Amino acid sequence: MPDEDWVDLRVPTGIPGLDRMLGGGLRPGRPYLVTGGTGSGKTLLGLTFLLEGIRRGEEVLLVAVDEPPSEIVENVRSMGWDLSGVKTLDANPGLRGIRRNMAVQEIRAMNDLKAMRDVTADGKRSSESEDIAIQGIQLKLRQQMADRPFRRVVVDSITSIRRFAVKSSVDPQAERTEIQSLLRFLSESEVTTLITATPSDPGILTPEEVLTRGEILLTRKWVGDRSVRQIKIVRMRGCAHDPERRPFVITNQGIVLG
Amino acid sequence: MAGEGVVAHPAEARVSTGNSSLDAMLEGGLVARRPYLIVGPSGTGKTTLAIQFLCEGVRRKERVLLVTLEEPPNEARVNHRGLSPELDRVEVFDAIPDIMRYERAPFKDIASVRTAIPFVQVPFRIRHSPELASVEVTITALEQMLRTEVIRKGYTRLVIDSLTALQYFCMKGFDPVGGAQSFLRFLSELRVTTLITVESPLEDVETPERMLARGEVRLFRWELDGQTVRAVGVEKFRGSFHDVRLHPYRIGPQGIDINLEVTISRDTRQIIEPIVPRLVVPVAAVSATPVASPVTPLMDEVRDLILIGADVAPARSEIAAALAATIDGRPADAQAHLARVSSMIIGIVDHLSRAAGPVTDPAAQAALQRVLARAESVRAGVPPTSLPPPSALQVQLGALLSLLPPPAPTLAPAALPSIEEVLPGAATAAAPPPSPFEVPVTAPAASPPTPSPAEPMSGPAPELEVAPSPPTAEPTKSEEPVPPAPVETLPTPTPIVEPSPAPPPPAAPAPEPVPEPAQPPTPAVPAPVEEVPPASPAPEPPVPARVARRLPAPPKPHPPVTGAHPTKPASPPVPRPGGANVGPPPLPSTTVPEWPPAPSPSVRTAATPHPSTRAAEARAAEGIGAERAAAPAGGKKRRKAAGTAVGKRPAGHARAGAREPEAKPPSPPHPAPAPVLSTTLLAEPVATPEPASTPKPRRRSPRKRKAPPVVSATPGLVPPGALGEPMEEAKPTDDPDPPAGAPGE
Repeated sequence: MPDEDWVDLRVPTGIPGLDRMLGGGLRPGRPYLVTGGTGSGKTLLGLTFLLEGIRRGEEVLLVAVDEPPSEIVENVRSMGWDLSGVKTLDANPGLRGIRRNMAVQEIRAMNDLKAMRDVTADGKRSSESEDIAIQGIQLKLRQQMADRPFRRVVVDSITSIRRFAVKSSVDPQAERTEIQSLLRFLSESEVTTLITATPSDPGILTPEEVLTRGEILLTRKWVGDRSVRQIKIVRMRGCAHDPERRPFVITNQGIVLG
Repeated sequence: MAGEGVVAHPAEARVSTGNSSLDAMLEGGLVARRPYLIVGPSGTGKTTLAIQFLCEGVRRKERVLLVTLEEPPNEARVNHRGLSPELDRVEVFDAIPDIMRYERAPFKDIASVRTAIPFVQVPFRIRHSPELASVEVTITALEQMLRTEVIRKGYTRLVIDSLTALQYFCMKGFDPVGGAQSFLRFLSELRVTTLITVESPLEDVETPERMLARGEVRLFRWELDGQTVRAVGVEKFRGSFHDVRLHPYRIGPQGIDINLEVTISRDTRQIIEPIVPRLVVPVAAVSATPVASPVTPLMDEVRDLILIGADVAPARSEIAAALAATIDGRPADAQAHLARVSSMIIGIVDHLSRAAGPVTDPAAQAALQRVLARAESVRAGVPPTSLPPPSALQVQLGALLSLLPPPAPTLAPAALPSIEEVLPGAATAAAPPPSPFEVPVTAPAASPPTPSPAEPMSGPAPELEVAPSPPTAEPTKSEEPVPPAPVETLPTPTPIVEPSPAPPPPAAPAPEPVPEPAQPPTPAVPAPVEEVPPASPAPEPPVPARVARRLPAPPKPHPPVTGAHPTKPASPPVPRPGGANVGPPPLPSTTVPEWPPAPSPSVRTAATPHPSTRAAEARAAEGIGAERAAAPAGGKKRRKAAGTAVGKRPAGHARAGAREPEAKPPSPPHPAPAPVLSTTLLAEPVATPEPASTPKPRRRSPRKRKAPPVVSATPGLVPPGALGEPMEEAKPTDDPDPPAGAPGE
């Protein structure tokens, strides 16, 4: 693809209303942040984004940290969604340290990418504990990227990675550098990445906030006994975008903006 | 920039930021060869602003450099395409670290492998990290690179985007705080005009870089009612005057598009003036022109304040003192006096901004808007650093003085003095009025009312219910609650009738009495007039009742009326009044102080009617009362309260807010305040102090609000009397509405 075309390229999110807010879609090869509380629809937005990629014949990957992939598959089955084309890296930490000297292995050594169709509920043996490390994810992706160039990646969620990544948590400087490196790696691979996160303490600037090029906020509040969901583009570099909050609903079609 | 007074270094050339509006806010541009910060949350346009600055340099044939640590050059190029054709010639140094290899690979020093290139040579796609080596970016390597490049290529403009990324990703092994500090230090020694972007999630975090930079442009982003609002402000600019207001901006194809015509309130972080019509004021593009001397801005301010009808008498005496000092060759004293004038004016403006009342006269209205628009800068206090030569200063001060009405004649003069004095006295209980201005002279008048309170209770009882009790405390608060309280007060009081009578008696101050007679409702007005602190001093001070608030604002004035009658006016007032009256020439009330903002509550009161001034006076009166009562409370509190209230108002007029306060009223304090304008006086003349306080009821408590109608008296507000003729208590007439109340009685 010639450079000039690249400039105007947009990556549709799979949610028409959101694409309109973005003026066509996300810019390719950049990382974006999706923030929201639990149950706000972050994972669903990420899955919609991946399925849109599959519809376009792209290779897509879900790095699942929050929920085991098997649960994700089950959760969306009721909506009639088929995730079988989505590759997944199960980075959900295994059972941890019930016994003291349990061998700890890094995720990169343990897990291969799998297609969702191969995911089974008992996929993980609990006899071994795994730890995830940001650099492990980078290295794992790097191995895979050579033969299967992913176009879309969803990391769900960075908050969990930070919380569970044993190695990084020791040194905040190292953690930031590793996140920077991972996102840089994805950008250099021209992958459009969505990273989900739960809202951070407003006084703390997280590295992903600094590194991502845009942020989409999902909120949910209760009005009487009705839950009202809203989506907002908090920031978006290089895109003229709609800065207002827009209501949305979750249906079998996923996220639908009014 | 400026002329004589100059703070800044006239010798220093100014550097355009490439954004004419921002240049105007900076009074001409940045002072050359220093580092400045652009601080704001992610996505607010810091990089865009920085690139505008660089493009301006290219336009001026300078060599400029962007050091990017966050946004890859290719993306920066794509994102800012169309911003300006000069972008192509901006040189960019890619200081983004490579992907970490996590395996053995030679680390290279960034300065040895990368160089700055013009944007036009930046590919649209991202740079790839070399396979066999990894470049580590460290702060020391970066400093090294900058030092040699600046010398070699002669850059005159530099942008570091961003310092946050530098701290986060390039300071392995360094202390981020110390590292940032030394980097800033390094940049100032580099002697290149530098913009440094800083991401900051919170608005009020003080970081070392903020202390070290010579200036700071801050970008804000708030969400109000689902709407995103962006604002830009110059938070700090050493060695220069600058616009301290916040202005909204948009990010458009041409970059940051600042609207200097509109100002956004800084008081309440979340609340933007636009919500409050009042606040949002079209601003004259004042900022652009340099300030020649500290006196110049004062002239404008004073002129406008006079138009509005604010009490500038105290300021006048300070100005006169400054002039005298200048003539005597004591510049230091002159400066001190001028500083006091500034702070007085700030007080007045603060008061205005939180209680802007209804100003009907177009000229006054325009003046009010100008004042509010300037308020922020005044508050910032653009410190007059130096004075013009004595000869020039004399002329300027003389001109300034000539603007001011002679003390005696006008209300204002008298008032001012009185205010302070009054307060104390009045305050019997009340502490010193926090802010003189607020309190306006009128307050004194209020005192008289105090007495009434007691009575009011009796009479008014029905409506007020609550009101009565609260009074005492309330007074003070009056300000806080501001509008609400005042309003209440009056009404509550009992029957109008009483007031009238009473007033006279007490009324030592002739004026008041008169009014009362005229119409009971009026009382309120008179009361203010009375001001006479003396009375207040008396036991009752608390009574605040004085209240005469004429809040202009009160939209609903009429209703109050009903309540108004109340009462108090009657006898009680009289007594006190006397005392009160004594002192002060009623008029004082003139003073600006509390605007009616509160009005909302006041609604009941009829206040609205009066033109601003009067209203103001009235308020003042009330304020005074309140002050006394509350004196201790302290202006600040009130302010806050007021602020809040204001905020609310904006929205709906805050009645709700007002009420809330009132709710409290039930408790003693609030009551009094209510009656905005007219303030009824409560009868309770002499009654014991406490009782008196009770009387306050006039300020009806919240309920009063409901009741308000009852209070008819209040309404009268008599705004009329208000300013102009203090005495006019007669004005009560105005109260028409109130009268109604009276009738009720």
